[in-house]
Amino acid sequence: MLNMTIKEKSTWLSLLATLYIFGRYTFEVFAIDLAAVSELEAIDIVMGNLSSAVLLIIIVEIIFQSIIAMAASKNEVEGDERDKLISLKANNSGYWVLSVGAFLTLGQLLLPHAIGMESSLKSYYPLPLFELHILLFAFILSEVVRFAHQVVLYRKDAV
Amino acid sequence: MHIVNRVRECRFFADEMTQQELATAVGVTRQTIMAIEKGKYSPSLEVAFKIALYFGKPIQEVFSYQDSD
Repeated sequence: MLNMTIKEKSTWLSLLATLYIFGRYTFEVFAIDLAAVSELEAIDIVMGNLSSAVLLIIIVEIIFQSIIAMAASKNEVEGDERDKLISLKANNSGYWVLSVGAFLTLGQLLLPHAIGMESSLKSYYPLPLFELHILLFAFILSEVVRFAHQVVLYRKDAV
Repeated sequence: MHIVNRVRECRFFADEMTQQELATAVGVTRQTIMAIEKGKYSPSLEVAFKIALYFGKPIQEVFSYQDSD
């Protein structure tokens, strides 16, 4: 811990918070028994869980990032050129994951109209608000990849 | 291609100044100075000049380019 920059500590916090809060949300969504509830009820459950997850991550980030920032000087909070380079490299990794997710979502929306067939992914994983969830999971995964890549670069002193 | 530096040596001859003191003087974090000394990170020209100027040396005495061949 002593050998970490403020930016690295902040990245660790974001990674762990995202993994825990959205990991829990993912588990809850897959645990919904679609045979036992109506589609509208399932959507209500999902929206409730999603709102709680988003609210929780905002609260956790605000509280803990403020605590981390209080222990640092203004320069440390802003980060130096190495922090910025690490951030740029990690953003690139996250971008690729998000792009794949965006294309998957587009495919899910367009393919049934283009070739007149129901998407196969949807039949394997019948989630409520299916297309929203592909995009949401792609976003969460891209964030996890971004934070994890940052942590790896910091730990390896790679740049 | 590889950029080598004598930052550690310069610190030693500057009364064994700490990495934190140098980092504060040139406006980077201590971890960045550590990565520079280990040869894991090549700083921008701006930071390289700041480090050299801080030790009162021309930049080529602190940083030099070494061909890998």
